[in-house]
Amino acid sequence: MAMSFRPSSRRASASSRAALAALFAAAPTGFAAERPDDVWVIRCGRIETGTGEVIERGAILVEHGVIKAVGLDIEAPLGAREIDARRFTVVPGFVHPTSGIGQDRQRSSGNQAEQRAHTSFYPYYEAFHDALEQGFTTMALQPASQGWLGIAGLSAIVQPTGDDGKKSAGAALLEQDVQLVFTMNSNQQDKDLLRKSLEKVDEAVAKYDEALKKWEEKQKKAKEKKEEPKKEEPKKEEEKKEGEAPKEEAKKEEPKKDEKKEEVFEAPKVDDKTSTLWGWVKGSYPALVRMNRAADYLHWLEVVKERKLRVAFELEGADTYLVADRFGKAGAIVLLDPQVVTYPLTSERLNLPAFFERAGATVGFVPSRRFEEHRHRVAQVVKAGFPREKAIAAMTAIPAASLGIDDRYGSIQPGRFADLVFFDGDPFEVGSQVRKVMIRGTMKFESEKEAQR
Amino acid sequence: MKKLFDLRGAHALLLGSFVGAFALFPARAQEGGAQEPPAEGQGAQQAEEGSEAEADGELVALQGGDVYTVTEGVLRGATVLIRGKKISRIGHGIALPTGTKVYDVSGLRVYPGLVALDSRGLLGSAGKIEDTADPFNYQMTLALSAGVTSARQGSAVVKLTRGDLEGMVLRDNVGVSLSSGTNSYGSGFQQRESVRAALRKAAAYVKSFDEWAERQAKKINDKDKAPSSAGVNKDFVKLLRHQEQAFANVEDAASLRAYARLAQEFGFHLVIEGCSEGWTLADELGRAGVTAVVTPRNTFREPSEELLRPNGYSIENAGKLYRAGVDVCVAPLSGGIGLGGIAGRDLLNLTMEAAFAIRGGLPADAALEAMTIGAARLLGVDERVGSLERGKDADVIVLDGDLFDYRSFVQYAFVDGKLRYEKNAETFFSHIRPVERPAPAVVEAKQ
Repeated sequence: MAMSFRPSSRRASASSRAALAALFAAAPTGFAAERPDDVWVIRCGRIETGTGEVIERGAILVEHGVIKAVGLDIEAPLGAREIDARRFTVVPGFVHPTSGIGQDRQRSSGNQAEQRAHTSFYPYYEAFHDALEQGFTTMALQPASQGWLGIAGLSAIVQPTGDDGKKSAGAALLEQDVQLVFTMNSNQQDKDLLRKSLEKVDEAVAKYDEALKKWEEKQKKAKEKKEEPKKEEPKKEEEKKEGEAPKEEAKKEEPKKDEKKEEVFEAPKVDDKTSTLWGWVKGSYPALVRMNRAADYLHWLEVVKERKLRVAFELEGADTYLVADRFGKAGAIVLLDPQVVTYPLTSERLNLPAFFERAGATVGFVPSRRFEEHRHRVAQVVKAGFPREKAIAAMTAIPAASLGIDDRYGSIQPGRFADLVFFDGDPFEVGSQVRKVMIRGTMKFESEKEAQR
Repeated sequence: MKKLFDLRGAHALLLGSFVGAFALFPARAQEGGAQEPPAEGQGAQQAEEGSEAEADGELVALQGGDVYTVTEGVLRGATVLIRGKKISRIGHGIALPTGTKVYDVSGLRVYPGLVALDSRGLLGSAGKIEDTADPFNYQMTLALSAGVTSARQGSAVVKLTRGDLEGMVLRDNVGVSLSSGTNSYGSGFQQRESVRAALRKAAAYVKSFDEWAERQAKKINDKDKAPSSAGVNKDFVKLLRHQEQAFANVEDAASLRAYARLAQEFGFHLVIEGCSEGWTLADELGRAGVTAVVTPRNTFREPSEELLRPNGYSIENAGKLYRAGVDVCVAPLSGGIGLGGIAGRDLLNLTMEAAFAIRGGLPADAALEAMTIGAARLLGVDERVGSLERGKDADVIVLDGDLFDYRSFVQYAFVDGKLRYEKNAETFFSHIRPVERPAPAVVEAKQ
């Protein structure tokens, strides 16, 4: 237990580290959740669950790093340890939906769907720890976060590791191939690219279906053959005559026939780009579409037409307010920079996130500046009219939903990972600070102030 | 020669309809100004019977304005009923169906949306319009504020369907250019001869094809083959068949004469853009049946006495051409929205350009035509736009004064039946002489 807690700041000098360690060695209890399989009851001052719900003096039951229950009357199971967090406001760990830490590649024109963010993930950037200090516990690493062109590829989910005593700081890869990321501009190149890419997927699907149908027919015939073993030879010939099935398939299956009746269906080959897009089209993972202007959305609609696609939008330009109602009608997730802009060509202020929220869209925030500014920028948008009760969700549950991971991350609900941020006040008050950050049931960060307590 | 007669005929017809319209309606105007609003609900059911009921769409009525139909005269205090994208009815005492959104435009003037013969940058697009247009471009909004609802953009004719991509492109491949590209009549002897040769070839082909078609109709000979179109300029065939019109940018008298003679010789319809010195040979142009697209405030060349003939630009150009029988359309100096530099001679001031044509002698009704049905005709879209008629596209503008008055503002602009511009709702001009307009009322079902 002596070294159960690592001092927060990796910048702290060796001597102060030693001093702090000594300090905590003396403390009988603390946030010593080294083993994530422990069972904890966290008694909180105030819980903002990220679903809009606020629980005063509630508690959170965490088992093996996962939230089991949250509410007012949480009974601690036998052997559960308690954490006294009654002086804190506890919110879900912030989710960064468009992080680009360590992803140097610029988005370029063309289809780069085969790119995977996790292949260029480097865990030892200090920026991960900077994010942790500000309460970010989940970050989507985009394969190319900068730029305005093309299909960028699949993003991965990482989480800051905090100070584990061995490495100075860093992040761990949690999940890969989480979300397809691309940009949709109202230009010929982007529109043609998306249109053609989707057409290719359609072609691949058609090819697959056809091959599957043929294979099934073949299986049927093989079964009949089995039932009437005398007529085996002429039937074989018949099969050969068909000859339309993909060659590889035919070659592979024929020798097997005698040994095994149940053969494995071999799908026609598809290139990486198309298969990536196919995964999105069939709903394996969602996409984040970056748009800059209102017109982009109309062109997007023109391309996707009636397709049902899992998609969230990252919007930039101020003129996107012109199509806010259409996003609202569709109930779309819209990720925005938390800032008050001006109506195009005027100096009239426009609270873009609030505008979208009123239009019925589900608004999430993109931390486009430094991590320490994010919370304050959201606070300003809240001050200018964005509903306060939706602000926490817009930094947690909604970015998680945009990534399709909201069943595991982004809110304080049973079944979610215990990624929690402990504030010493309202997160949107200027003076409030992040005191502790818990990731999967383990305290990964404690502020200097907190450590000195 | 045939074409020439066609054109004169059409023109006379048009004038006739105008005269007729004016003769008919003053009586009504004297009857007592504004039309009393029709009894609501009274004829709601009747109004919906018949063929109209099948056309679905939102109902919008512009009630009580002075309706300048362009082709059917002026109806004072009348109502324009829009159903979906089309004009459903125009007139007095129209029973408004339940659910109609009624804009009270009494005291205002209702015109068809203006058609710009050339435009630049309104769509903010670079490439195929359908794939790259920005229907939220502020220049489009400004063009609507100037009353423009359709415009030629490159080789296409587009509608300013602000906020929608759908229905934007009205048609493509407009006209055959005779002043640029491969078909340029140019100024050099060789170039001119090659164009004439191509035209002769096209004419011979058209003639032989028609003769063949006639033989085919009579079934004289089964083995009779159609004449080969190899090496025949297809654009010119279109011109000679009057399927397309020739466009040429010509300013000086000598070139104008050359082009006019070419058109006269081969019998196609020529549209001359610029036409600055046209007034010096207006008669010749009139006989050639050309249409002139003039820019009254164009200062092409200062009149010079050294030339020993009338020359240079003249503000009377439009008027003189018109009186010589030339169809006149008006275009501003720049087809773009220029907020500086060219001093109000951009598309934003299309009506002002026409006002200067009126100042120089062009009748006001001809000026109105020039910006509406006349321009639509040149672009081959007059079936859809350019006048307020039943069944035509509901491209309507509502102004608080005369179209040619410098004080008038477009209050509402509808394109395809949808409100695309409202002065009070936009930042551009809402602060100038603001007048609060009541929100549209909705006709409720009679209990």
